[in-house]
Amino acid sequence: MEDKAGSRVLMMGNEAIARGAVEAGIAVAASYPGTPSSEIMGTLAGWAKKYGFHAEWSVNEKVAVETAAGASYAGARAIASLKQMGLNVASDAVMSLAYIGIEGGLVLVVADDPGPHSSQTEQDTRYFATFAMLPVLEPSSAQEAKEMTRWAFELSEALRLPVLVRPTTRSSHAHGDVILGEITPAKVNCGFKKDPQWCILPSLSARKHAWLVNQQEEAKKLLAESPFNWIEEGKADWGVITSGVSYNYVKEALELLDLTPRILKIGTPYPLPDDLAGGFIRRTKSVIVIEEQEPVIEDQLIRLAWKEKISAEIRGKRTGDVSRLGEFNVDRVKSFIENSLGFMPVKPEPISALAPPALPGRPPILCAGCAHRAAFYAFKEVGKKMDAVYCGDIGCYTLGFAPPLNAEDTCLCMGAGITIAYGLSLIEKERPHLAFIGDSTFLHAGMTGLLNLVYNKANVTVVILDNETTAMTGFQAHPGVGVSATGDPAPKADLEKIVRGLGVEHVETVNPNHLQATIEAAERALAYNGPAVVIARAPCVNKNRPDKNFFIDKEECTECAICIEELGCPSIIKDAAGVTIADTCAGCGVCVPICPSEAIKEVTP
Amino acid sequence: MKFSLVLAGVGGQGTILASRVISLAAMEKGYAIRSTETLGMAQRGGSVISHLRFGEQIFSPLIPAGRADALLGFELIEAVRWVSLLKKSGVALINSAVIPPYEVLAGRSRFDEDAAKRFLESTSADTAIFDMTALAVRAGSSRATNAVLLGAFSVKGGSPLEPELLERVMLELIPAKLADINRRAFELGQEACLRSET
Ligand code: SF4
Ligand code: SF4
Repeated sequence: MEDKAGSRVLMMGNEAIARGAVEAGIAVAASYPGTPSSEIMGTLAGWAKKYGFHAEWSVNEKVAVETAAGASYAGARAIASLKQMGLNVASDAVMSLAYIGIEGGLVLVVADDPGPHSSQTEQDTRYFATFAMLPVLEPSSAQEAKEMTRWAFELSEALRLPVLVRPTTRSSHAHGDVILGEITPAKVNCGFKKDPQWCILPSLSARKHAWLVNQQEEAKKLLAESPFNWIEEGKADWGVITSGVSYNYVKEALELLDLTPRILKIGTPYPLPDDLAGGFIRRTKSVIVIEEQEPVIEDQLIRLAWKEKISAEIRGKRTGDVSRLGEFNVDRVKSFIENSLGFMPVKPEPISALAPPALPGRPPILCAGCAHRAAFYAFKEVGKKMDAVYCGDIGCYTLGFAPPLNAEDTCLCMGAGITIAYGLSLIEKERPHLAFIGDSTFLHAGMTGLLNLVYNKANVTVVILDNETTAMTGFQAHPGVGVSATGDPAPKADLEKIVRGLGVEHVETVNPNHLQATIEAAERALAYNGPAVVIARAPCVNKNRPDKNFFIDKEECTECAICIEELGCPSIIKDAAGVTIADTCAGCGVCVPICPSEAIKEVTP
Repeated sequence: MKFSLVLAGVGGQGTILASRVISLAAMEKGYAIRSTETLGMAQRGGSVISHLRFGEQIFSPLIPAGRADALLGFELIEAVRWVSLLKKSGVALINSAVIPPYEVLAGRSRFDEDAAKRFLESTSADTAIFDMTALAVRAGSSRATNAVLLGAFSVKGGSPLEPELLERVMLELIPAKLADINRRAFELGQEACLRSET
């Protein structure tokens, strides 16, 4: 990619954030993948050698944040990038870091996912920032995402606090034209200076709490001077206060409605710069606050108006004019404005006089040839005779939830499959309980749960679905893969040794594409009294496709469609021409033994 | 000037590459760009949609309902799903090939292809529907369906981006060994549109 300062390039928001970090001169970048944040580290890892900084996929988000914090303690600039759920994992570190403070600029980019498109919750990281008392910046475009990330390091050093940058799906995963800035070389001659201030003992915490509260006022002053908040004058006695990507929707909705209220655009939602916001509402009869997700700005504004006795009417989520749910867009924002002004909503004329036909849904599914499908099939075959419970986890294999596999009875958060299965087993002693967990998720949050099974003598079967990559978020490396984030060889974690090291005695490794062997391993694991682990290992088909092809022999096929109904591989198609295998077949061969008529055969070259 | 384009298809069909070609071509003309696409979980064979907008000044990357100038439908069902984003005089370029979702394959739900086509024909949009997958196969690979669509867009999309510019940017983005297939697919897309004009 072009990297000269001043050039104009097409960048995804996440790439722009990465660029901002490089322009700021980072020495360390650490991350655990999670949609919609993953491309930040994906980009940084590709640039690490060129610009001379350390980039890594860490084992989990807590590790990533602490690694970046350590580099910051030593005086260097560091960044950790994660998704909103990842911040929950890292929260122990983040809460204490707010008290301890930092040395070199420390920026935590936490991408939120309103909708949600790919997350378990719709939580708003700006609330977390409020809770931790850390400043948070919210970009509205790729260009602003770059500028904010760069500036966040200066803010962090000025306040001696970590600073959060909170993009959302439509800033992380939106492309825009971005003008590049100068790259600052990373600070190298720095180092850790010993000082009691780095040890969080209760007496220090009490003092630091007071300091942290005080820093909120400092932060407001610095944020008020930032270039990310501005006022656009208008021709009405009312105004709109908006932040992040919602600013764009507001601009366009007002254009469609042909309205010109005053606008206060906020790029620093917490802590809200009082003077700026107070000044704005003092000169406005009423304002409508339009921010995606929770009423973070709105609540600060209400408190401010109450404290300063400002009489402006404040409309938004608290008055029911604006939703706190889901992702916004121009149409939704337009209707919020119409509602709050009491307008009749204007809808565009339909494109056809006919009603659109009913359409089948198309949710994401496990790929053709995905080894997870084979593993689920095998364990369900064994488990169905005994009404087993299947506890799932976070990864592509969450899609095993869908029919025909129906192989996820529970799914909560990273690593919880193992521990929920254990909790269930304490109550339902006779029922078999299984937990499915991917390789990356096992290393992220599964090992401690498994140790707990051993220690407490649980009777649970854990299936580690090892496809040797972090598939769902875009095939990132992890400690079990044998390569680093930057593509260098790395020590490969041996899952079998880890499992045995944790004290599990019944451990077997199988290739799930060998269906019969997997069914037998499943039978042995379920018959075992105590914690049992089956490592179902086959590479993700997107990384390594078997060099085979299959077809359905018309002579033998009875069109029973059992292969479709029981396995659900999307390459097996039934239409007027009968049951056939499409050219998308990935060659796993798992459907072969499932066909009762032996009609599925390998194409012989 | 503000041009808004929807690209709708199924994960793995190359909507993102097509969106990138058009974005980079618009960049060369000096326009501001905003685009956004489905990434992550939804890519696994699910519906994917990209919104792409360029012009003097663009705010929202997402296109409001009834405001898109053109729709590139990579697959019939997905084209029907998103056609309501088009403005009344918009252009719809649609691949008639259907990729049946699992629930249809398993007989849990039905898709009435004729009703879908009738609905698309009934819209006020300027519509061209033909089997682009077949043309891509004729050019050398079903994977070149996105090049057929780009070719169709270059002559019928109604955008200020010239066909030569789009073709050059496309060829710069794809591996050299696929250049011939994609160039042919691009031309077949162009021809099919021009033929339907006359
Ligand atoms: S071999 Fe069978 S199960 Fe495997 S990808 Fe091909 S059709 Fe699907
Ligand atoms: S990407 Fe890999 S792991 Fe994910 S569904 Fe497809 S084959 Fe399975």
